[in-house]
Amino acid sequence: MRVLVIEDEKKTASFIRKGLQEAGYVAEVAESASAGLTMSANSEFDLIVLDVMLPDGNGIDVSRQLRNEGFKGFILMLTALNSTRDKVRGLDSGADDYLAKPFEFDELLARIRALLRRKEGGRTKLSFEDLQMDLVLRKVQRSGAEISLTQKEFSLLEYFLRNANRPLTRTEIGENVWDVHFDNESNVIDVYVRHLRKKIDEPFAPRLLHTLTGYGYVLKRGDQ
Amino acid sequence: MNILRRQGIRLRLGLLYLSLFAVGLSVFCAVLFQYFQRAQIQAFDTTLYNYAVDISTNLEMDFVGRLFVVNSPRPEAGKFFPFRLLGSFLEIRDSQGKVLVYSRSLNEPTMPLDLETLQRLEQEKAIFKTITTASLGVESTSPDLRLLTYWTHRTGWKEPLILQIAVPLDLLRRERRDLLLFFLLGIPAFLVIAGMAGIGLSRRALKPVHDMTVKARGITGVDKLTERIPVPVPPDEIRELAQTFNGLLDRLERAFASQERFIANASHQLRTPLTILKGELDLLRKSAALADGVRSGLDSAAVEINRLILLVHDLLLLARLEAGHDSIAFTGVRIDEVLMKVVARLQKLAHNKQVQITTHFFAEKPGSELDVEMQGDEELLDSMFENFIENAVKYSPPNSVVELTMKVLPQAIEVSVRDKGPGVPPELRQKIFERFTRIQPSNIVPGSGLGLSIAAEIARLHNVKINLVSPLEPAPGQFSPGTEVTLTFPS
Repeated sequence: MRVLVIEDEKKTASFIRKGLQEAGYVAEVAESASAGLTMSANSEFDLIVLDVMLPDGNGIDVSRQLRNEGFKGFILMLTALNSTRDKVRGLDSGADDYLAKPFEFDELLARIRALLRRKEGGRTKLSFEDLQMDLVLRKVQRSGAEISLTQKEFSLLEYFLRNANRPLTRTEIGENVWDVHFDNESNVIDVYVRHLRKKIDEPFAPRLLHTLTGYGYVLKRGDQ
Repeated sequence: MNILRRQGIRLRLGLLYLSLFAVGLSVFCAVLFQYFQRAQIQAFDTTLYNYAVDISTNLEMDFVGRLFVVNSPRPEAGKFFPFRLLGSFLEIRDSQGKVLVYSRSLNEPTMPLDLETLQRLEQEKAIFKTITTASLGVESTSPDLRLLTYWTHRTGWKEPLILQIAVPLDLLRRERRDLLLFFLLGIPAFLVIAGMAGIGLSRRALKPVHDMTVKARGITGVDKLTERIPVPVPPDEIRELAQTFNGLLDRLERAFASQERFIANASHQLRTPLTILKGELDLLRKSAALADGVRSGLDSAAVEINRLILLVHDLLLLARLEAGHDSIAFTGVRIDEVLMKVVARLQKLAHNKQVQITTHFFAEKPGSELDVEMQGDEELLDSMFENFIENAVKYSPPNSVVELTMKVLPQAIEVSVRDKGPGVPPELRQKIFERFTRIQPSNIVPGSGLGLSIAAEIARLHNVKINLVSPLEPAPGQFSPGTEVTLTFPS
C-alpha cells in the first residue's frame, strides 16, 4: 500500500511518514503542492494525505487538480481549519475524508484503514427481496418506488442489508451503526427502527423488518 | 407631538404636507371668497344701477313738475336680473327729499334718506347701501335689501328726482351660501384625496430607500458580504445613501476578511507545533521498549498536550463566536445525529470513568421523535452538546448514569442532560457560564474552563434557552446531588 504525504511542515511530514511506516505502509513525502503533483503523476499511490495549507498553493486546489488529472486513489485532507464550511469545501473538491489538526495518530490510521476497506469492500449495491440500496448514489428503492431516508436511517438499513436473515442484537446494532454501546434504558435503536419501518415496510408487503423480543431485530422475508 | 415623533417618516411627511396644504388652501379659499363677494356685489350694484336707469327713462315730468310714468315699452322687459322685480321697492322723491311716489308694496314711504346722503348724492349721483328688511317695515323673502339712492335729472325736467330702489339680496345670499357650502364640503374632500395622494407620493419617494433596505437586509452571513446595493444613476440623496452603504460594506468585508485571516493564521501557527508534539509523542508511546519512568513521563506530557490542544481549540472557537452571527453558516442540522455523534465520541471517556450514558428519544406526538431538523451550525451545536454531556460525565461519580433525553414538543425541542454529580452550588449557577470558571481544580477534573462559556455563547446564537436545575430533589437535612441541564430549541 503506497501513501503520499503532501505536507510542507518537515517535522509533521516526518512523524506521519514514520508512523505510517511503522503501521506497514510505504510512505513518501512531498513538501510542496507542485512536488506532490509531480510525484503522483510519476508513480501510483493508493492514498494521498494532503495538507490544506501549502506554501505554493491551497490543498483544495491540489485535490481538484489531482482529480482532474485522473487520480483514482483516496485523498485524506489534513488541516488546522476546523469549520463546517471548510469541510464542505474540502469534500467538494474531491477529498474522501477530512481530519483536523492536531489529531490522534490512531485516528489517522483508523481513517486510512476505513478508506482502504471501502476499496476492498467493492460492493456499491445492496439488495434484499424487492429492497435495493445504492451506496454510491445513496438511494433506496422498494418495488421500484424511491424512499428518502435520513443519514442514520440509511446507515441502519445498510447494516440490516449487509446482515440480512441474521438476527442482530441491540448491542451489535448500536456498536456498528452508532459506535455507541446502548444500555437497556436507551430507546434510540427502537425509535430509528420504528421510523425506518414506517418508510420501508408499512407502505409495502410483505414486512421485512421483524422484532425479536428480548433479543433485537432481523431483516428477513415474511411471516416465518 | 411626542406621539407624532414616534410615527414613521412616511406618515409624518404625509401629515406635514397635508397640514401645510390645508392651511394654504383655506387661506386661498378665504381670499377667493372675499374677492367673490366684492365682485358679486359690484356686479349686483351695476345691474341695480342699470335697473334704476331703466326706470328713470320711463319717467316724464311736465313743466310744472308733475310726474308721469311712461309704461311702454318697459326697458327692463325680457332682461335678467339677479333679484326678483316683484320683490323690489321703489320711492321717488324730489330733490329736497320729499316723497312723490312710492310703490304699492311699501305700506308707507319709509326708505331712509338722511341729510348727509342727500348732500353726497349731488356729487356721486348714486349711493348704494345695504339695509335690513325690518327697517322698512315690509315683508320680503330676504332679511336684507340693497338700497340704491339714485340722482336723476333730464333736460326738460323742472327739477332732479331722487329714485330709491330697494331689492332683495336673497339670490345673492343663496349664491354666496352655495359657494361657501362648496368650499366647506370641497376642501375636506380635497384634503382627503390630497392626503392619500401625499402618502402614496411619499411611499413612492421612499421606495428606493425601502428597496435598499430589503437588499441590505438580505446581506447576512459571510457568503453574502461581497454583495452590493445597486447604485442608482441620478445624482440624488438615494444615490449618496447607496454609495455610503456600499462603502460601509467594503470596510466590513475587509475587516471581516482580516479577522478570518487572523483566526486561520493563529489556528495554523498554534496547531502546527501541537500536531508535531502530539504526533511524535504518540509514536514514542507506541514503541514498546521504554523504561517505566520514561513511559509515565511521556503519558503525563501527552495529557498536558491534550489540554493545550483543547484550550487552543476552545480559544479559536471563542474567537469565531465573537466574530458574531455573520461568521457562522447556518444549514439544516439534525439534532439527533449531532447528539449521537457526541455520545459516540464520549463513549471512551464514560467507559474510563465507569459512567453509563443512556439516551432516550421521546415525542409528545408519537412518531415525531425524529422531526428534529433545525437551522444551525453543526460544528457549533456539536461543541455545545459535547460541553454539556462531557461535563456531566466528568463530574459523575463512578458507576452512575448520565441520562440524556431528547423530547419533541409541539413548540420546541428539549434536550436534557442529567447527572448524579456533586451539583452546582446556587452561588455558582451564573458563574459557571463565565470564562475560566472551574468548580473543581483542573488536576481533579480536566478541562480548559472555557467549555460552558462557549456552550452558552453557542446557545445564544441559536436561540437556545439553557435551564439549569441543581441540586435535584433536595431532601430535607441532606445535600442531594445531581444536576439537570435542559436546552430548549425553538422549533
